[in-house]
Amino acid sequence: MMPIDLQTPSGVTLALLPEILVCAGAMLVLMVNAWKHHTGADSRLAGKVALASLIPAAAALAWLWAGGAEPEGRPFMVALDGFRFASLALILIATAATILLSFGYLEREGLIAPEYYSLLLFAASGMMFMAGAEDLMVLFLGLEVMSVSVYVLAGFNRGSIFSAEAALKYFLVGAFASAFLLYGIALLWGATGQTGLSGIGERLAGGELPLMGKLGLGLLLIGMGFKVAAVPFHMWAPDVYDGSPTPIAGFMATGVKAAGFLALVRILYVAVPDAASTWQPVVAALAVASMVVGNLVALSQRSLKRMLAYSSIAHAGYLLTALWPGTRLGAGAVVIYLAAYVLTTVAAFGILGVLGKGGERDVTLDSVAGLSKRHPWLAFALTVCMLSLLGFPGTFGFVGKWAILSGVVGARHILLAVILVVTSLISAGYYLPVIMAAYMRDAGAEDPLGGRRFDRAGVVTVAVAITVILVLGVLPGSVLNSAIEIAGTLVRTGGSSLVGIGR
Amino acid sequence: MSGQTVFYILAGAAILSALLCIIQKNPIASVLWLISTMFALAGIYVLLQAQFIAAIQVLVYAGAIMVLFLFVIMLLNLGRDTGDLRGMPVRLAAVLVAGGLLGELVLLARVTPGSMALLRGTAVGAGTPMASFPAGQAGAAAPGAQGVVGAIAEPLFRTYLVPFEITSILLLAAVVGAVVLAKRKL
Amino acid sequence: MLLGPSLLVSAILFTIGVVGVMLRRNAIVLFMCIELMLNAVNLTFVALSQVLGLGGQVMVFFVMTVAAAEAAVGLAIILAIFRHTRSVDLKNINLLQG
Repeated sequence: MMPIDLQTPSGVTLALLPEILVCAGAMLVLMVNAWKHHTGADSRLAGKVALASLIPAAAALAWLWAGGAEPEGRPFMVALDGFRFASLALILIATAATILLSFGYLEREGLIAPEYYSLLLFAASGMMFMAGAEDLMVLFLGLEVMSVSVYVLAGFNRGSIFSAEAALKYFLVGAFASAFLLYGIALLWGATGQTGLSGIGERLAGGELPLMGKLGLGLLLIGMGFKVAAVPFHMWAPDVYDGSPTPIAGFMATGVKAAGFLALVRILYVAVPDAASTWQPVVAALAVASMVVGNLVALSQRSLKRMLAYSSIAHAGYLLTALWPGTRLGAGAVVIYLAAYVLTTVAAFGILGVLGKGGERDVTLDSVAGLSKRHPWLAFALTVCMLSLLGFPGTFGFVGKWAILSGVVGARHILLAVILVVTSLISAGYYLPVIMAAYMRDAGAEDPLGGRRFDRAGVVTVAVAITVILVLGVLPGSVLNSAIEIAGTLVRTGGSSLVGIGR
Repeated sequence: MSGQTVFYILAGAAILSALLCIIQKNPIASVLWLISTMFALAGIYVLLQAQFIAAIQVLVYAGAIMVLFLFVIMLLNLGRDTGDLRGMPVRLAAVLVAGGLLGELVLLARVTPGSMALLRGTAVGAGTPMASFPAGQAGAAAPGAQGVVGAIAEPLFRTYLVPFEITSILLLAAVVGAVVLAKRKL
Repeated sequence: MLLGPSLLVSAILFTIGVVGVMLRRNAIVLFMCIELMLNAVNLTFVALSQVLGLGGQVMVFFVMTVAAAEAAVGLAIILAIFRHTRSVDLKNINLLQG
């Protein structure tokens, strides 16, 4: 146990060490850029510096986590619990994978601009502030740091009109959503006189949520709904993913979405747990709409990138289902499912990035035809990704869905569980054709990669992700147990009934 | 003229300017009406005893941010009537959304200081003075001893130190981003 | 105190901003409507800070910083798209469709 006094500057510095080190890394990359910003080699160097600067951050995180850091007295501004540490770990993994996949991508697309990597690190620090926030203002500002950086990254391919359009759409929708979120924060503060999440929770404990708090919570859910692309606030996602550089689209689908959900769990579980009867119907409605619309529209997509975008909307629905119960199991399911989803999506976007011929906007089912003959390992990796997204037994994705189901069933909401299972079955209708095209269709003499080569960093990233997906899919016991333990640091009361999880 | 009368005049001016801002065909006229809204809001802030916020509202918002808008509009030579209102279906949808939203938010008009009385005076938790700062004193009481700016600096650099530091990262990221996108040749 | 009336004015301004975002196609004007929404929220913060203490005015401070950062990046994005399309009308910016 390592008590840290968050009221003192040195205590806050210790607690925020991972975030601070990531920011320092971003600034270091900027310094490198000042001297070297002309050639592809300079760009690679910036990427390597960025990657290396994640190591001290990860070490600081491991030190805090292993030392069992906890707040001395009241939590203040930043959380210090297992849930935050797990959130930070997830975000660091997504960031590292995005950097590794970007090396090859930037080279193939001829983008030379090392600022890319410093913006990635700034975005990562914003996500970390947001996911670990104990205060609504820290949460809001972290979200803004993340959003501002990702707006720019979406438009990073300056020669492409599609990239510029994606940036504009993402920016306008994102700023609109931020305004809603901010109004929600203002009213929640007005209703309780507190901006600290646990302070709000204490104020509202046991009592009825006042009118101003209800309005605030509603506006806040609208804002977060936009950020995580839940139906009906999803219309921007396919266009933005479509136009953005592929590693950035992957970063949006993994990092941004993970940070959004982790922050949402923290708000709902720490600040307004006693108002569950108020937010649960809203969350359930958003979840059902996202699962149904996301999966049905994905069926009709030709472009694989747009298909993955709609699939990520469907996954937002699954994650909303996961956090619905408001119990320890719910928080655990969110952690597990996010881990599975982040790993799988990173690998899927990595493969997508290498399949593109002159702009990956045109990657369709035809582009993967015959992949198994020329590149059997790539076809295998693609298959594992699709099966994991589908939730096929033996993959990590299945473990995630199972955790969600036990949480929802444990909270006695059978209808939500049934809808989740049915929509997952529908999703086979667009995941399986990809596998069939890779294995059964013949592309003739043409090479699906068109002579492009998957660079070593990309291969390693995808290979590691696929291995983890398979290993944890077969041996889920330890990860399920630790997820429940992590969730226990956030939700101390209730949820002792571990319905079959991890046994 | 009582403060109440001034408030309603300023509120009317703010709402009218905001309406004109969203229906003007010429973007420059829109900017100017938005600036007018911001000046009216600055007046309201003075009435609500937030003199410092009123000053930076004029300096930063109306003075800097809106001038940046004006500058970009003139740089891109967009100062013509564009007539960019969307068609009828969207207008109807907008009216519906606005009706729904306002129908809920109007309930806020019923909030009185009395109805929030249970928040006032009850300092939360056993934390240090820093943690339980906001609930205690009402806005007007504090400035006397330290002056208006000092009274805001206190919570800004104590309670809200962490968010304050995050804003510095936000501004740095925004500067880098703006340069990356807007510079002709990197 | 004028608490209720201030909150009402804030709600009306916020709604006007939302309507503006839905009605306009000019990207710059649309962004201005978002600024209007942020201003409306600031009024809520200031009005509530009469009762809840100066923390609200500090938050207005942060909102202004956010607005400035968003303005810098947003206008740079608008410049970038103008270089491609010679227009900021969303009608002409609609290549990405399924």
